[in-house]
Amino acid sequence: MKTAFHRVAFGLAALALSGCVTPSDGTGGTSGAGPRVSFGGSSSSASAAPALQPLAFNAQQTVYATASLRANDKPARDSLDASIRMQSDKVEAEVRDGAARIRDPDLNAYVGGIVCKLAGPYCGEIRTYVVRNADFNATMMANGTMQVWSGLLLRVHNESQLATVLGHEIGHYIQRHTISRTEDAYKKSNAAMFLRMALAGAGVGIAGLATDAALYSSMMSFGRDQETEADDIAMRLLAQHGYDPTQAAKIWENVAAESRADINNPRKSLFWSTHPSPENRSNRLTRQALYATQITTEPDIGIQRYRQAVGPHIASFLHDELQLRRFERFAVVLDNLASEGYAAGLIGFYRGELHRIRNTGNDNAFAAEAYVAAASAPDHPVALYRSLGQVYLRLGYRDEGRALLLRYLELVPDASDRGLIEMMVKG
Amino acid sequence: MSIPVIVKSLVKPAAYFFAIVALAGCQAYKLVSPATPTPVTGGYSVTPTVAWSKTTVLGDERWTTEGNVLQEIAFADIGPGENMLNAPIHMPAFQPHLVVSRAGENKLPRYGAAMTLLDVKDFIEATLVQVGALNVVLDDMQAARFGAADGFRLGFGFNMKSGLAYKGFIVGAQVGGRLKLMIYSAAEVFYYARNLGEAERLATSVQFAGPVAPATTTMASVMPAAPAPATPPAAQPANPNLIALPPRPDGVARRAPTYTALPPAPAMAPTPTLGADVVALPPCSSLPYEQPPGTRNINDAVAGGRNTALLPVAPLRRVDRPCIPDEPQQGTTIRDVISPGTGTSGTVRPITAIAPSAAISGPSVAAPAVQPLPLCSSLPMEQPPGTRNVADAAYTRGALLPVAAPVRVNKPCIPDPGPQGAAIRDAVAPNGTNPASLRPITTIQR
Repeated sequence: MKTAFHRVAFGLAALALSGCVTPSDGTGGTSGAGPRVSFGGSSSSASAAPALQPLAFNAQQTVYATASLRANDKPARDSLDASIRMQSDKVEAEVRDGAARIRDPDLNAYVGGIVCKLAGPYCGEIRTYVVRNADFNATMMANGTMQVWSGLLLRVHNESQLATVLGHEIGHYIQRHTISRTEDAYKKSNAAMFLRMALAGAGVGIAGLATDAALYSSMMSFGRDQETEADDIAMRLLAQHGYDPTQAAKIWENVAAESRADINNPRKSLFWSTHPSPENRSNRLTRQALYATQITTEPDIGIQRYRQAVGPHIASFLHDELQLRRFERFAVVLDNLASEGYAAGLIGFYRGELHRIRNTGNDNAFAAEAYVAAASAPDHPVALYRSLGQVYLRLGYRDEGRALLLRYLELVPDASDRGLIEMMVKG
Repeated sequence: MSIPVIVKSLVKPAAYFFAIVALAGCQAYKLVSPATPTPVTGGYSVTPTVAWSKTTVLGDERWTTEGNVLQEIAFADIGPGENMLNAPIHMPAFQPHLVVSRAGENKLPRYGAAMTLLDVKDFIEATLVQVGALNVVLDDMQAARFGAADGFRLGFGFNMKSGLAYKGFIVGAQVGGRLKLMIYSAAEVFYYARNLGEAERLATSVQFAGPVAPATTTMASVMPAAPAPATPPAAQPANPNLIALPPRPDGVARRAPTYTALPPAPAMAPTPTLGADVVALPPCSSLPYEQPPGTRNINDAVAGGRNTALLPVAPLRRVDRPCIPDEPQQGTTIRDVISPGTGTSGTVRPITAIAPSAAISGPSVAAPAVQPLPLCSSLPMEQPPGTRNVADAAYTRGALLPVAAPVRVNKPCIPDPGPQGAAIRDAVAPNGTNPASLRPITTIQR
């Protein structure tokens, strides 16, 4: 009975500790002991860059053949593994039926298709859900539930970069990382931790408020090795499936740039310091890509496919990110999208929105500049006229501001904020 | 594990548990009697027609007849610089840690007295999103009376993470520089409609005790007077939606400041343009070398016909002139343009990089007095007070102090290194280090 009780608790904990690619702002390199997997299958220190071996694997063997989890392997019903998966099933149901799930069939088919392609024999075991969450993350649970957050889709720019992250999560799954973390926690258990997990698992949210950080920190101390191993697997999957391995490092370069830009960066906790820093990841992946590109003769970056699937959602992803008021990070996101040649009107509009909403110093002038520049692009949203009108009003240009607000109402006769705007204009 | 250890380990979890109970389950409710004008947060009163239960959550006043998770009315009185709510509506259904974490980042929107109605709409939407509401929709926004004040009303809807849909409306007004809101929200299924009538009656029963200060929600009250125009209209932008601005009633055509297509604002100096009025700084690598005065080159003991053999040897160095670093690092401060007529002082934009358009003008774009921040790596190291350096243990009187590594002094600085093109903050106002006073992020573009 006691054992079963513990297993349920650790099953709950496993859900919170599901593998993820959450960016870190930690400064240290990889550390700790334990088995590691590197290119070529030899065992070496994950943090020792010179030990990287040239990729030498055959497309039918490698990643899947060396995985810790066998495809279609069903755990014994009374095992800890089965308990963890059972708890994961409950969380999966919440994700599947929850409000945050993005249900666009085209987008889900696109992301799920890449997962299936990368997962190979594990395709049938992994279910992918695209979730509306502005943070940069993807997660994998022990039962094969993968969540891809919209903030991630906003920050990767082509299919190769997306495949890097998805391959990373697949790596967590086929190497049984979530389960092994839970098993390790089981061994380290004590009453306090057990009670916290039980409270959190029972749905009492505020328990997580105070205990999550400590719990995460204590249980993620060996996360770097697993993150690094998952990175390795992702790189091998990229090469194996013809993607461009050089794109892998760019994700973390962008994440690092975002992190550096945010002077109010709150992520200084022990939890983050136990993960490889974006800089370390980027450097390591860059070196690995030198080997991986020898495998991929004609790498496919997959820009057009990515934009076709994700492009229709970019505006809403930008809107979600803007709501979080992380202006410095948002500026980097916009710069990255602009450098990738995304729609100038849309990006320019949101650059203006950044300044308009921040509204300090010369922001209104910069906002006006951005709006006017965006207006010359054919793809600018109609809301630009409303926003520019607001900015003109702030700058003291009443007539022009009023005219633009009226023009917005002409262009959007059924605008939901018509009443407010008419009230403003009337004044 | 011994019994005392187990008991000790249970103290904190137990404290959390009781905190949960105190927050979620044991709120103190008071009865609000019907047909009685009842003062609420915000300095006005409402008159319910049915009995309500009233409670206070983290200082916010909440009324409910069905239970706070299912249906409630929140009253908010928001001053400049304040958040919309101290606690999310429908606690504890909302995860309160979302609020805590967001507040820790200081990103929860704050009210400003000069906000227009559209700003207020953004303020409300961002607040709902940040406390964890999903799929937030604001609709049916219109002018409405709020007691004796000119106010507004808007409808809203959102989902909890579980998918449960909520619906509600907000009525309010900007009175005396403060934003007063009455927020009705309920589970969309059954509870919203069931209690809507009473919520509407409450909204229409708002009564201010004294005379109401004029609402600040009209355009005239939130805008300064327009500057007198002096510049005739210039060429119109290509976008017809931007050019069809109506002429002023007094017949004077005036253009808005657009910074790319529209003319500069009145009474402003013409915008300098790159090449004509200003010149780009040369790359640092193009500057010539020179021998530092009072030194000699190691290979040349005779310079200018004079014997310099007794001078100290020093390598050549580049001449000290303003230039653009060849391989800018993140945070490297560079000057990108300079006016030949005025030199390097005063009129030069003290920024590291110039925005996409070099021609930024307008009434509000004059760059504030700023000074460059140092690179973080250039800050000196210091030993934390009360600690000692491990290497100094044998030679200092602080041998008994705990060992700690030196840290950089805690001053504003620019992180480094970084690639060209990375967004950076380059300068800080000399009168303070408040992030709000920093210049917008610029990008090194060479």
